[in-house]
Amino acid sequence: MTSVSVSLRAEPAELTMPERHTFRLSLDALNPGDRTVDPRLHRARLLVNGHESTAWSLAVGNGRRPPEWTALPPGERVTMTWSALAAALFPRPGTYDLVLTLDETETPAVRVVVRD
Amino acid sequence: MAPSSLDIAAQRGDPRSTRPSVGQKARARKPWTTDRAGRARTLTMLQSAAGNAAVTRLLTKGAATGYGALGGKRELVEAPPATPTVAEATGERQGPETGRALIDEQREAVTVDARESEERIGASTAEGEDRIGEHFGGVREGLGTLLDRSEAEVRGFIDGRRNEATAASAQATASAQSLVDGTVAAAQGQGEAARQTIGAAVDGASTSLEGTVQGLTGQITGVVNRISLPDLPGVGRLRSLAAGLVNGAASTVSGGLAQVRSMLNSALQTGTRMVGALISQLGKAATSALAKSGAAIQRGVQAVANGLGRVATLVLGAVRRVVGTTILPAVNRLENRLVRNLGTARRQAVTAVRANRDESLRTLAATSTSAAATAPGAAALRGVTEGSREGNRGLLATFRERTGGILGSVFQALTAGAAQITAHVGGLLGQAQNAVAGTVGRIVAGFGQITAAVSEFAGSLLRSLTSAVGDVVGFVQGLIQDPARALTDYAGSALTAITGLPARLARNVLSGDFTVPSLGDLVGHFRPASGGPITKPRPPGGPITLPGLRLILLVLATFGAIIVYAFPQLMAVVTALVALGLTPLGALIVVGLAAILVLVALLLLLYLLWKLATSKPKPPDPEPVITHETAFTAPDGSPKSRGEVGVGEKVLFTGSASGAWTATAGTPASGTGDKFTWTAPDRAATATITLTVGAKSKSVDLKVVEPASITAHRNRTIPIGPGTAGAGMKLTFHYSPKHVSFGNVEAKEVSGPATNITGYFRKHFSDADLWHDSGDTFYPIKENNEDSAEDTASLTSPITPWEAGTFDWIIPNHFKTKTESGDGKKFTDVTQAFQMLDATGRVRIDKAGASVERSPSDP
Repeated sequence: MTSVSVSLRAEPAELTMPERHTFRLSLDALNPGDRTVDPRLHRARLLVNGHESTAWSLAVGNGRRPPEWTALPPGERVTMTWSALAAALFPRPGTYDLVLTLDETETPAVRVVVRD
Repeated sequence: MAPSSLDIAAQRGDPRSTRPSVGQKARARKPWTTDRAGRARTLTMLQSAAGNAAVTRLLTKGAATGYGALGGKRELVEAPPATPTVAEATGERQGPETGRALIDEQREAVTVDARESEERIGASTAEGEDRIGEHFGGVREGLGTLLDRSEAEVRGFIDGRRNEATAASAQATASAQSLVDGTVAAAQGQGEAARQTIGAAVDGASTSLEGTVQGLTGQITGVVNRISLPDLPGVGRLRSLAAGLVNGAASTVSGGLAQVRSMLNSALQTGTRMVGALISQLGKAATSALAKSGAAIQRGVQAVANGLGRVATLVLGAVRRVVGTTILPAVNRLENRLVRNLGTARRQAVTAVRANRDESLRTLAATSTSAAATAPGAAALRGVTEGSREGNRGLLATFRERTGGILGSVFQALTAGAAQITAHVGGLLGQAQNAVAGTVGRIVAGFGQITAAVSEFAGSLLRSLTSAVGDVVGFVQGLIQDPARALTDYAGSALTAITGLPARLARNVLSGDFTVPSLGDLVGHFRPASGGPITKPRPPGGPITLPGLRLILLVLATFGAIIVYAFPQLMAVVTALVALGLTPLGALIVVGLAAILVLVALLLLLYLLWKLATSKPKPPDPEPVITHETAFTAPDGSPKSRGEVGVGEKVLFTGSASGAWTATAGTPASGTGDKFTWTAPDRAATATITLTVGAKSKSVDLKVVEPASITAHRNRTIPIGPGTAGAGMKLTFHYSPKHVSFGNVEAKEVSGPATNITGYFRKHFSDADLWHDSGDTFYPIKENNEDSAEDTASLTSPITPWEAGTFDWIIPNHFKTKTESGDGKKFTDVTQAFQMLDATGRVRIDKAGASVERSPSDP
């Protein structure tokens, strides 16, 4: 059971195919409780138009993280940003709804429009 | 027109949707199967017709010759069991000439088909070369477009930031100018108000005093007419003397009025001068502040311009170097290799066609004309020809399929690579832009702080001016009030004395005393109050009663005046002292006294210098000794006095005596004292730290070491969940060498593409899916060379069926010192290797010496 509040931030929300390198996807986790918890964020899954993204799973499940990534104190938040996922997430022009899931938690869809 | 790399990226689509399925690949390989079946049938017929058992071996060999280079894998096709021959079945026979003609005809047919097949292979090769040229030309054009676009993007961004800084500087300068203008105007307003206040005070005091004194003088004069004395001898003279006395008293009071008027005018002038001096000082201070703030803003703008220019040069240079020295040569090498491989494949295909032809011709030659003359023999001969044709068709189809497939895969990989390059370059540009925007933002924010500082300074100036002007006004009002009150008192006491004069004279006359008191005895002398511009001597009984001291003060004031005359800048000191409440004379005395003290100090200094110059030489300086100690303890226990340190390490040097320190690298470059705290440079070097005491020096060499390698310690495994293929582990990196500390260093992993993609991962994932996005964030290394950030290495895949496959991340690792900016320096590659070991879905991950392996049935 997830005891942290997670959110997803995508910038920019509108871009063209050549501008995909400017895309940044950030995961933000807040511990609203009164004790330190391990949010186990490496298990977060990203659904792109309903399909799980392998690129995201590899990105979130690998690499070095600050101590807060596995031990988030009460009232604190931890943020991680990835900047090279657009080619995998948006292979062609279109409208993409991104939803982050962690255990039973599911963030509201973040819509990204990619134009030709 | 050939597509650019960016266009290729845009057209790439989802590689998973365009990659052929296993079933499609199986169907695409069908010509081989058909070829083998056809050959088997022909073989059977010939075996029956000519009894040539060697044909089986020869034909199967010819069909598969040389296709290893294209990835083909030959399978030996065995002929079906022998069956009765056609000739045996029918027993039909024809003449030998007919048989010879048929054999020649079939030889010609085999030869022609082989030649045509070679031509088709040549044409297909040329078509492949055209496709290679077109695609690689497109990639090169795309790289050029990427460079152009990157340059345009960087230039546009730089111009935008430069304009932003220029606009911000203009706004800040205008604000500072406006603030200073407003301050000066407010100061002038205050000064004008002060002048009016002082003038009004002087006018009021003067008018009031004049009326009072004139009234008292008139009363004093009127006393003469009221003097009534007995008509005795000598009284006439006495009356005359008394009248003179009264008139003298009136004149003295009137003279005092003139004196006080002069003092008031002097007070007015002094006050006005002081206010003017204050405003002038304020104006100078405000102008100086404006000049300094303007210079600071201009330095900021210049720093932005220079910095942006350097950033543009560095970023574009880096992109050009990467494209020009790495990517483009790699693309050219790949193209050349592809063309060479295509040529090799063509030669092998042609060899196979010729072998097929030669084998068929040998079979035809081995057939006797008599056998060919029979109907079954003729059919078998035609079968040889048809078999040869089928073999050539199969070879051609295989050649086209294999070369086309390989080219398609290469083009697809090229497209994916181009997209990754574009994304990588874009990422680099984005990082550079973020860094530049942050720096420019801080500088622009600094402009606002400068303006705020000017505003605060201007406000403090105005507050100081208000206070000082108030003091001046109070000072002038004091100057005005004291002499006016003194004159009024003097006139009043004179009137009282004069009013009592008639009765006093009458009493004297009646007692036979015909003397008249002197004017001084009667009304005394008028002496205005001290202070301000009134320079008349103080009345006796004041606080200064020693003539010697007065003389000393006069000498001091004179000396001070001389000093101020010689150094006009000291007038500001005099003005300030006056503003503090001293009289100008007092201020000059202070200046004179200070000048004398300075002179005495100078003489003392000269004396000391003379003593120093004439003193005996000191004994020679002893040889200095240096000891040093690092702030951090090395992880392997090396002592803190070690001769090697990590980049950025702090070292405290202690000398046997105080002296001058220098360092050939690191910071600071110099220092003084008996201790010297030094920080090693950001990159490997040998630094020499020298202590010089007198004429003697001592040096210590320290070798500065960069991180060189990483090993990982597995902290724990990560549970994945039953039924899912995957594995994961948490790691801590250890940085070597360990005889130094990297406690002031940060490290990061750099994003990059996956390599060695095979099997399961090649089938189910695109290159973009497997791209390594590390987050590109620096994390500090601890004093013991362990990473402060825990690393995760994991993989889960819900896609089935499972099968063996691999992919690797070759991860560049960069380091930088904590005080250093930028992207640091690459020091090592760490390989993170992912494997699906088999069809059971068992997954293994290796990274920097640590590993984890897990089956789907595990937790």
